[in-house]
Amino acid sequence: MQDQQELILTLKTQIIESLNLQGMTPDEIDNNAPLFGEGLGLDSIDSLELMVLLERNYGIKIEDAREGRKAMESVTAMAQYISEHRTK
Amino acid sequence: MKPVYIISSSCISPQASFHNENLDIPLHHTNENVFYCIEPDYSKFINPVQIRRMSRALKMGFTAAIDCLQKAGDPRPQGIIIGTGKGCMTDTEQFLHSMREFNETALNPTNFIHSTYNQINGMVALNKKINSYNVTYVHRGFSFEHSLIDAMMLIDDGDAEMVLTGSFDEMTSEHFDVKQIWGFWKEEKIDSNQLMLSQTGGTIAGEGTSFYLLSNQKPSSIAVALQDIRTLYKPSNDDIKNTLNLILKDNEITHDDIDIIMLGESGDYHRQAPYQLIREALPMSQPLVFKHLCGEYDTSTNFAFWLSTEILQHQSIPRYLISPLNQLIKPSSSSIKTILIYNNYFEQNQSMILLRLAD
Amino acid sequence: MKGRLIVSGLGIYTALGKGVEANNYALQSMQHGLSSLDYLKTIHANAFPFGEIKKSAEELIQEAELQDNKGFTRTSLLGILALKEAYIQAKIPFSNSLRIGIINATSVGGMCEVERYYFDVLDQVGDFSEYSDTIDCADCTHRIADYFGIKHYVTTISTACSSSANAIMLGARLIQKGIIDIAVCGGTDALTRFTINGFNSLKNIDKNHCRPFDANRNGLNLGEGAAYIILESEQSCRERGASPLVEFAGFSNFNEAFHPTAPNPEGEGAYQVMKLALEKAHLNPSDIDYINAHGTATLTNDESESNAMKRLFPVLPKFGSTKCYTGHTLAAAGAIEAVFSIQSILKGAVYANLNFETPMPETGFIPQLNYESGLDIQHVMSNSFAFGGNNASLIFSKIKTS
Repeated sequence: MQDQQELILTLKTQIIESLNLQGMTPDEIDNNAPLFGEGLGLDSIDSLELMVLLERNYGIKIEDAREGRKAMESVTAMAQYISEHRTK
Repeated sequence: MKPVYIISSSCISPQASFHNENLDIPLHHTNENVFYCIEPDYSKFINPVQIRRMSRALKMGFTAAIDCLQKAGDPRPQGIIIGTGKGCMTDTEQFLHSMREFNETALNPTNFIHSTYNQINGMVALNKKINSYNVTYVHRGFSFEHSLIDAMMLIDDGDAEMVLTGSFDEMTSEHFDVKQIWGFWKEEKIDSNQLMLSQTGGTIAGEGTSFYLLSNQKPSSIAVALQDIRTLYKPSNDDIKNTLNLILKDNEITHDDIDIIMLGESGDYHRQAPYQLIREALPMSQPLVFKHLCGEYDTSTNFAFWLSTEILQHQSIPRYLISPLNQLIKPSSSSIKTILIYNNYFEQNQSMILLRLAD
Repeated sequence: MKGRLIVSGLGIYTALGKGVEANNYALQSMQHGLSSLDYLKTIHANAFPFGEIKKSAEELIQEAELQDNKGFTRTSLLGILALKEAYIQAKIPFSNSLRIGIINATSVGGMCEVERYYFDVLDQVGDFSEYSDTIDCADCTHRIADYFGIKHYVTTISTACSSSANAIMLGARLIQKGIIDIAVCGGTDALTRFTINGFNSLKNIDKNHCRPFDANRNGLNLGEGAAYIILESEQSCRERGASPLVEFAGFSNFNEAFHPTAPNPEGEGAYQVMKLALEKAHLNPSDIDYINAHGTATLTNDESESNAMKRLFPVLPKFGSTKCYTGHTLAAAGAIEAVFSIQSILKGAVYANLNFETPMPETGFIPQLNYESGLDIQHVMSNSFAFGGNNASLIFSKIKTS
């Protein structure tokens, strides 16, 4: 559980950096809020950028945009997906 | 074609041209052979969600376009036509670098998307919900001119009453280096204020963006009309002279009617001859040079266009333009009705743009 | 200019072959031109099928019979070779006093060479000065213009995947305005690592052969090529002793302002642009005999385009995409497909939309599934939609003999 919390914090920092969410801090991102549409308000290009993040940092290659969307529903979902699929 | 009127304009350049009502803006110069724009506070023009992904060229071009529309009360033009020689260089370079760094895997789509030349066209249309004719010209030293011609055609044909048009180009330090290797810039560092006095080849680099809302309706205040434009591809001296005569004849004016000739002289000693030709053909016109203020770039005529509209509107040559490079041959009080811009982009792309104070 | 606008020459070079006849033959035999890459070096060479032209730079230089081949990019060479065919058909002499303009289109211009030498130039290894002008879109246009001696109007358009459709439109407008008498319009794009990696970063390249309008479509295939058409007034064409091929009847450019890269799934922009082109041509939807669809086989394009066709056409004409043969040739696609559309009229034929199995649930549409000839094709519509919401639609018509 401790590890998962750490992963979530790292992930949030990476999301902020990768999407250049200027002025945002990790605490401001709700773990369970949707990343896309409502919630953080990200769009389809952000979802592609997040896939780049997953591939570069965790060695996870998502081929299908639809599967990507599911894996990135929220920060919690993303951390879960990373734990299950990471190769680095 | 019928002349079109300039309803509003916005210019981001290496000078304090953005939102500066006072023509006597302070003069900026460089000793580095490269000019960069003075960038405005973008937060008033671009929302935080959008801005986080945008590179310099996008931010500058987009802001000038939006600002131009806002100054005119945010109308919905029936055309968006934009020129750029190089597009968003930063994004193109970054994508090339990441292809190498990450060996063609896990690349950022944003750089690729923004490297496409019609990005600003799409963003302006999307942001202002302008469903209309929308085209991007990417022809080096003709990019701005061909955008203007297209806008005039669209209005002349009655397909549009109002068209947003403009151009943008950015200089990156990497692109500056690449072109330095290929001999585009001067080998020795010079003061930009002395640009036209140097007796060497090459020029200095620059960048800039400006946008114009053009209309078939004359605004009630003092109005500047875009009268005519000609582009000349690799012309001979005779072609240049003939085109000059033709543009005068077609617009029913004589050599003496050209009050100011705005010359794109770049300080390149080897490329001075065509300008000399124009100077000699128009001995009664006040010659003014401008590239010591903005540097050389594909769409530098957009800066000359902006300067010319300002001069016509204010009926005076701004003090900062007057220098050893631009000595006045006429009293500064004489009226200014007609300006001809002549530019010669590395011999290949040459253009003449005729601007007049509307009657 | 008054009177009709005429197409008097066609030239094309794609993965299907060089020239109109080779392309016709492939379409007729339902033979696609997709394969793994033999000439472009990229880690994706065997990962996806591509519409690559199986010629090396040296072979293309030879075909173009260049005296001095310094600095010619693949993009320029393909353009020159395609235009040569159109020049011959339109009976335009190489040196002439005609008022000819070139409206060229490209998406990445000289990038095919830039990406090979870029870092060597930065590191100052080797001499690449012959390519010093290739980092833009104008270089290929200059090279083509100089080869054919075109001077009167020389320009380049880049609106991503609708670029050359827009070039054709501009050519028509410049003639109608009297700025030029003859317009050389089209586009050229070579395959580059830049675009392959770009589209791959958007996750919309299919690992298999693309399946336009299929429910299980999974993205596009990229290709390369060039095509040009010669436009002029009917009078100019007849006076020069050239033969009119078809009429360029209508066109439209319309930005849908929906999303930076994706089309409106409802197809609003596609609907408007097709409708406006019909209005310009004074035609009704029922007049259209064949639609050469944009049909990239991406999830969003085909949904959007199908929905738009469903809304505009009470009775759906024969339609299909030819990108399953050539790959998506980006800025050249509009002109390549204009050539296919014109050939459809001249040959009375429509082309098979390859790899189709299952209709999309949204519309249930079934595209043309086999090559069919002996038809009376009067009017063909050719669609090109692009990034940034830049949509274009062209209509070509059979010349009425009065």
